[in-house]
Amino acid sequence: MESITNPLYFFTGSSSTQNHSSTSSNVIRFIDILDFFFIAHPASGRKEGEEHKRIMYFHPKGESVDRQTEVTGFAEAVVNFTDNFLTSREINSHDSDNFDYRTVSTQKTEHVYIQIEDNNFLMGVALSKQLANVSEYPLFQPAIRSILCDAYKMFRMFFGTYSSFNHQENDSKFKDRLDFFFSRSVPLLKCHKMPLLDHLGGVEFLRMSGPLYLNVVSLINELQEEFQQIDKIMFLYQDKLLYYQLSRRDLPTIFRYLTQNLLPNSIGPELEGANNRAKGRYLRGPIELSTDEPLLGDESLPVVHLFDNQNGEDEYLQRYQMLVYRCLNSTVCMFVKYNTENTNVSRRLLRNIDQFLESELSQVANRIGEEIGSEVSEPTDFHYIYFNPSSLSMTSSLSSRSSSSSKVAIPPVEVNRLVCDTIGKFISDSEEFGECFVKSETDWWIVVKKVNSRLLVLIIPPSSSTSSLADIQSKTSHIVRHHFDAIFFT
Amino acid sequence: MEIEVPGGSLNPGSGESGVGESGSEKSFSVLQVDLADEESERENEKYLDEEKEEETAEHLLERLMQLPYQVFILSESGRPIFVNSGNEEQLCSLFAVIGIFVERIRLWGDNLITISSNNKHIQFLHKSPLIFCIVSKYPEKLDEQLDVLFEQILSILSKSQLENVYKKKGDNYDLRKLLRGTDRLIESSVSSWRGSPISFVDSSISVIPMNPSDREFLANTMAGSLGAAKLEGALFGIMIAHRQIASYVRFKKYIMHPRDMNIVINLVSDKSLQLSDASTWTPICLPKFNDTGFFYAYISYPWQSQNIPACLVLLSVKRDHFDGLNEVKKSIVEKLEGNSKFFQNFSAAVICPNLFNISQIGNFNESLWSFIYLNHSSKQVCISASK
Amino acid sequence: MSGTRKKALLKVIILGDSGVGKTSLMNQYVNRRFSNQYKATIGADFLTRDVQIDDRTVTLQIWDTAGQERFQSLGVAFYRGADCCVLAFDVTNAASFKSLDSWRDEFLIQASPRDPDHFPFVLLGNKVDLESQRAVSSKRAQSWCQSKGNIPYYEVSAKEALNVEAAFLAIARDALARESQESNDFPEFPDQIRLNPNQQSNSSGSGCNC
Repeated sequence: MESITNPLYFFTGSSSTQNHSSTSSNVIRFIDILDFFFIAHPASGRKEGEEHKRIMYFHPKGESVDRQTEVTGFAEAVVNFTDNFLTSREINSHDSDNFDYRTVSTQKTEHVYIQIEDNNFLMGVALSKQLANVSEYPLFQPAIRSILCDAYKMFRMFFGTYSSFNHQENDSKFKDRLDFFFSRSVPLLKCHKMPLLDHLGGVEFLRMSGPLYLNVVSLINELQEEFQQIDKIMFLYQDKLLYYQLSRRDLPTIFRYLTQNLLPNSIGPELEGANNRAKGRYLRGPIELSTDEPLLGDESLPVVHLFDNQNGEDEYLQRYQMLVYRCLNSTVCMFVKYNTENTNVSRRLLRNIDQFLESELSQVANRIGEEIGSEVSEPTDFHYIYFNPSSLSMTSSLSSRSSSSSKVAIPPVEVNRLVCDTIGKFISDSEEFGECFVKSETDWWIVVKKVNSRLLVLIIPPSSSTSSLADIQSKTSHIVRHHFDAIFFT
Repeated sequence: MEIEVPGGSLNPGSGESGVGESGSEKSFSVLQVDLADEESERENEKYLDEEKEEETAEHLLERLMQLPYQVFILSESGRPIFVNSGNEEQLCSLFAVIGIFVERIRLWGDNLITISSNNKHIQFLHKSPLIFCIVSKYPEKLDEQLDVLFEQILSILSKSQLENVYKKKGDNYDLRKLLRGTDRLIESSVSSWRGSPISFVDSSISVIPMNPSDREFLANTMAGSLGAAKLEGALFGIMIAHRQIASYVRFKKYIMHPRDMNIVINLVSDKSLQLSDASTWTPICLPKFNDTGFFYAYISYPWQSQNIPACLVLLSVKRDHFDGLNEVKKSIVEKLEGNSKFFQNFSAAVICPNLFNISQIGNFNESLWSFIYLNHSSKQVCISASK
Repeated sequence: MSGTRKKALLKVIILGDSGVGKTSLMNQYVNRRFSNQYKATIGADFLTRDVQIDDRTVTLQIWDTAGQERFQSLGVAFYRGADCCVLAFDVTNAASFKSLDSWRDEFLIQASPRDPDHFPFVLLGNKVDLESQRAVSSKRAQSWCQSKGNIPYYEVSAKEALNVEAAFLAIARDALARESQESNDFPEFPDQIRLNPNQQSNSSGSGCNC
């Protein structure tokens, strides 16, 4: 395989990622329930006898070409077939990143196919019902679709669109990139045992006081004033988000990359050098900042493809160099427009930013630390998921990286499945309001409230005090008052 | 007036005239009968021809997809058997694709169940030698709708005939020849299922609201007359109106599955059987009871001329029971009409059925808006009016 | 509607090596209804064409299969229940003519029609407009047809749609004739139910119940 000029900054040290998620029972490995995963370019396989040429990537690798051709052909045929039943209006409605999709359910598998980049590419995945059973994972089509879409978006963030590879001329380069990326990323994909979390795909925000938040914002403003090359900034504390200037289309992807890959891998060195923690550093790029040597090879900065809409029109993909600076538990992620001319981030710029942030950031980080530390959140006697689609803010006691804990053990698989079914069947996507109380056969209660599109799901274990609907209604209002008052009813 | 019923039909004529010859083999001929009104047939063809010229298949499909659902039945070789819009020929390549999809998955050692996109849901059911497919805007209970469809086909052909026909006639047999005249029944089996609130509840039958003492009198009368006739093999009696049952009596040890009941209800609700002063005698397979053999259904609308839409169905396993059951009917009708208070109530209840009233389960809860009650053992459902 | 006599419908399968021009022949003959390039994905295009035989309309459901090994696993599903099989070869390509035997055998094995000796085949020799490159004479094709029980032979080309029409008309006519020879549908009596009260699960209801 041809070497790739960018440093291999994604997915290094997969094992450490795994170790980090101490509450690993909240998640399962995607690959453990995976039947197949593919990327196809249908136009490349139209000629009789060349059908297999549509296959751009296929997992598992050992599968025969015939089987790969059958699987991708069937998927394409399913898309064409269902098009017959969609009115032309329905077919043409694929805007932004709401990919057109198809699902297939068989006795043994669940398939999801998505059409991407003007339907020029087809991505598909099939999960095994039997393996999902073994892993106690309730298969929920919308979550599988989200995982598939996220896998694509992650590729696009690092390499740009599939179409940009001009595969007519350069099929092998495209296939190499896909292989390089997906052969590493697919084995690392995780599914929450509560599939709704993957489906909603929000990010966790840090709740903090107004004055402190203003502190952060003014630090970011000063930073951008001082260094006007910096186009976008994102600020995290631990693995929660405080502030961002990115497109909402990119936010979950980059947040996931930072919190699941990049940050966990840099925790190790931070713990070791305990006495030097107040000193900030870059998590990627050069270690030595004192020279003016050009940034090459291992020292060059990662480039990511993010959506830009600064001139107020449609969003378009733009390349940025990514600088990730960390001090104490705070991470400042800076994006500088990348162009092929010689105006890119230099060691000198890194040095200047380092000097600027070194003192400022550690002060802010200390104050955040003090405020967070003083808050004692007691474990709840229920599970919850909260999601606000307009801010993408999500918090849940069932998330793999949740700091908010619950005394309650993870709900059994059938309760998780019931939560998904309830959301799928009784809560309309398009409605802004809704309420639903469901009791499982094992006496768990599921309460879904949707207010102004904000979604709250409570999962309450069996107890003698929650036997009637009236009990659970009063319990629900108690929970909302005590735990979700500030964020739920404005 | 012409009749079309599954598996052939016999109209023993108006009034008593058919009874005399009902014992003979000839009068029970159950060969295919195709008695469509010639004039309307010509109109249909004319209409179809015009439609074909004016409408390309793509336009046709576009129009069909505005409908809430489409049902396809095909053979395993991809041959069209039924589509609820009646355009099998124009859609025949679509049938082929459906067949290949099912076969593709089967060759992978699996079974295709559903395909869906954002707002279309497609359910498949492979019951050799047939393949069923429904395309619907809503995903709810499509599997059960296909089961209902399959059993509707079985009620016309029986499982044994269905399984043998391709063996005998070859894989290229056109099953539409055997199902001729039954399109309307197949269509209504699904459309009525979808249109009915009973679809909320698996395999149930809905009950027409009646005064309990009236219902008791009705049941006792039906049971008494049927029992007194001592016809061995005459197992069930049902009084039906508006696709709901007013009463159902059964011979000891035999029960009718709600799904079979719905097949009977679907059959008698077909307009062609709603004859005044006439009875229909038709074979019908009730697959949950026995999917290889046929019942014979005695069907009459005794008060059709008075615009009372009640239908009396008597079911026997013996094909020579027409005369006996005709006597049972006369006895039942006589006794019911003899009780004028009952008959007045009964007529009112079936002519204009009221939904159950919320007050019938007490008025303790002011926030109660509507209820559905399902009796698990009888599978009977009551649905209230909304407040 | 329910009483309307249904139009006859015939399943016609087209076989032959890839490259003999099956698809382009079909393109001039049929409206490409919903076919959506299924050939590359599940191994066949599905086409529809109505033909008029005297006063009857016959719908042809045409299965134009890919001449590829890759989709052979679906062979049975393609071939099963066919009313007629159209074999196609390229008159400028002797190899495609030699394959006919194996296509025919393959079909008979997979479809296993009830009367294999008299199953209706039709042979199309395509690309006759390229006379100078002809590699299979019409005599040779005809004698092959004779040896297989007098299969009708038509020479066609992208410019000679006429003969394609004639071939399909003959197919439809032949099938209608066969159909009328078929004996009555189901002169049988329905089976009677033999009651076995022990098999009926039941609660101990007394007499009739409601």
